[in-house]
Amino acid sequence: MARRVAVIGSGHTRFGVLPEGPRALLRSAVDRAVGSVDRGVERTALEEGFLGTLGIAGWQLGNVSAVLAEELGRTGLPVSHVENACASAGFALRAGILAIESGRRELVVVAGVEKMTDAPSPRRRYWLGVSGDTEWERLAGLTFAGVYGLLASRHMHELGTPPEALAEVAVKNHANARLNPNAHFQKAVSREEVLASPRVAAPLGLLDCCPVTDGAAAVLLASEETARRYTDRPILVAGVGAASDTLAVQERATLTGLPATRRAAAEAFRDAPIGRDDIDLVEAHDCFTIAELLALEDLGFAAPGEAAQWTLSGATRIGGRLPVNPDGGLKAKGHPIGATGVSQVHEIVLQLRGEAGPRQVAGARHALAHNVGGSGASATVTLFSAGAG
Amino acid sequence: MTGPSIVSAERVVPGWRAGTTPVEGPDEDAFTLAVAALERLADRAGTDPLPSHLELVGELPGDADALLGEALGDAALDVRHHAATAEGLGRALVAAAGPGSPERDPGHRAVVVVDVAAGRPERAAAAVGLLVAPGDGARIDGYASRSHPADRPPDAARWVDAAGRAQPGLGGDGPRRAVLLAAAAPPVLLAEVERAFPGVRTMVAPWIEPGTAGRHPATRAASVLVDAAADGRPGERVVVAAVDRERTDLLGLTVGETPLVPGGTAAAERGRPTPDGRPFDSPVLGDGPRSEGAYVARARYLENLPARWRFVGERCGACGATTFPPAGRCRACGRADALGPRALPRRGLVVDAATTVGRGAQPTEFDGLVERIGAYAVVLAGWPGEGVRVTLQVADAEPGSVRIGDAVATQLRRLYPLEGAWRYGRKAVLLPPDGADVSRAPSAGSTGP
Repeated sequence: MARRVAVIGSGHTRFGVLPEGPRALLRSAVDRAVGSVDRGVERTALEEGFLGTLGIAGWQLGNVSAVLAEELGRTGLPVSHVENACASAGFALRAGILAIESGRRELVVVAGVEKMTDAPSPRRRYWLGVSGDTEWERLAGLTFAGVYGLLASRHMHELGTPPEALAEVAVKNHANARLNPNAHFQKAVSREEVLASPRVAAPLGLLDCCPVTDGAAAVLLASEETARRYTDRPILVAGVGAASDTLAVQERATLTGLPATRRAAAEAFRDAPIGRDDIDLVEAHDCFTIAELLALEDLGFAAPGEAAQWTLSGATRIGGRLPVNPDGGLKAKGHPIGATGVSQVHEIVLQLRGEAGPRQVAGARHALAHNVGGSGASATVTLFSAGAG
Repeated sequence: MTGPSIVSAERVVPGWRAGTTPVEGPDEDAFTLAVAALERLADRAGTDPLPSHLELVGELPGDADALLGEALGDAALDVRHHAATAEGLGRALVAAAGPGSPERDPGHRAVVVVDVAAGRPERAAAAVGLLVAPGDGARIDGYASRSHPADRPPDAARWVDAAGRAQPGLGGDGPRRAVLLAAAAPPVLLAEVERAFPGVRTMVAPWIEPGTAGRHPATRAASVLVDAAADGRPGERVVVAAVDRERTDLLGLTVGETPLVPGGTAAAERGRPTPDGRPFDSPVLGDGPRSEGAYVARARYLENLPARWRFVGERCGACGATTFPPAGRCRACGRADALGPRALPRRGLVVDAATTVGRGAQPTEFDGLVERIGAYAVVLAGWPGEGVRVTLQVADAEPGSVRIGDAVATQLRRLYPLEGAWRYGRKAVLLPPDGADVSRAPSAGSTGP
């Protein structure tokens, strides 16, 4: 069994339409992560960095990881850019975990950033669309909204998921986001408003989709032993899993779920000392409302077709049986592509330390983060447990 | 002149959108219409693969005629491309009716005529297909051509002489007709024909309007030929004339014993502008995408044409599974050494999932399409029993009208512009409940006098 890895600090910028550029966002996130460490940490103690970003609009295509070292004030640090579309940061996180598990590193930084609102809409849509299958999906006229629209249509047809369940995901996540000052949306929406919003990729409407958001997040990872030098309340990584799938949805046997999520969850729980029943909250990849329902089922919490009932019954609200996305999720907190996987960990750190304020999930000790690349060509699932004090 | 070659009555089949049915879609042009006409010919005549010899009349975009072989699944397709003139049509018909090449399949040959006005709102596009085979039925009796000055109508005497050469039996016994088309030829010619050949009844294609027919005689000529053959009585001798501004081409034929496929040309041509009244395609190709799009190199596009245009996937000889799109490795068993090509049918797909892409959710390549039609549907559709699917945009359907479980066929259409040229691929088209072809069937007998 590999040695255990812990999160000792995390930082998060505001999410939204922001004036800062990608460098400033990254600098802000890593500064906050460094500043969050209970007993302080010297930047010189950091041994390596991993950066998740898609690089929307092409502000820096190659060698973008050097920017992480620069903005950290540690030019010279070995750094890598990890890119798996919307799961970039989830895979960057995993790379950091593996680096420590291997024994090679004691302390690493993992960050994610995306500056999405700099580019005009057509250029942005170009960038977002090229993470799906280009030849068959995009050039049939699909961006990710369309691909998830297809998946939603099948889920509704085959498993009877009602439109109200999709809408309720948006209602819940908007309500949660109002409790999160970093969230992009600070406005509640009603089920009727979601159902009446313009259809952008029927059955999905505008309010079923995550916004276009700027933001960055960063976490500091350490071996469990090293972590004890920096904090008495480390957040331990209890399990990590990752998987891939065909780039094009048309080649998958199932259309009612994302097999990559199922595979990643199986790996994460395989070696973990905790099971699904122990999980107190989930940070799920809800780029579209249907995606949160797919996640609940693919992660093994709800049986196929039952995520709708979970959602409609309030089980996934804060205070419910299994709160999902208490920070507002991608849907309402925002989804700066390359930052999301690390942003989820930031929320989990707050929740497992009891520092989430009005959105605190009472007594939370174990949590799951779920990050999906595109329409499921890649996925990570990472489990966290509050370390003993 | 070739000898008395035979046009089989059963094999004279109006192509898809025979006649001058208006084009409704914003994603069609002469090339897609030609392919559609040929596919419809194959469907109705029961010949698949399609003829290996193709006489093509009309203007095709770019190197589209060279790509027809790819579209039709015969890389060695012998395509002869004639200008969209009456002369071009005459040559195509004569060539198609002539003896087959001994080196190649001497059987079916096809004539496809496409309207050079394809895609213009003020004049609809159309394609007409004729499948020609030696056998029984109607006989092509002759062909004649006369040039005349562009600034005045054809000389009546010379015209009558040419009609007699094209149809030597016009002066004999039995029912006879002459069909004249093109407004450039004044009705006096009809009177001359009736006077020269007593008992002959003449007719003019009713849709001809001054200032239009002279520009696009080819499509009309083929339409009339189809009509004349379909409408005629066995043994009736017909002469069809296509009058261009500079020449008249005449073709004589004898209607065969076998009843012809009912049908004829469609109603009068009429333009169908887009909802906002602008032309179908005028700004799109010239401007290209409004911003950059996903880049698929032309070499990769051409490499993938068999899969994209004809659904050629792979069949694993070891496990029997189908892989589509082709992957060089069996998706089921992983073996790479037992793969052979497997062409999946272009119709009979069933919709597994459906979405309607509205403004803002389209890839930039489809900005122009969304501007014109507002929204479009995309489906995942599978081949029953094959275990494979394809992602298809839906053509010619109101958004939301395509539902899971619907059966769809496919047609070659324009997909998106890149580097100043259209890229083509298949789109899904809805089938009516009875499974018949959805294309606008020509109305019968509209060319009758």
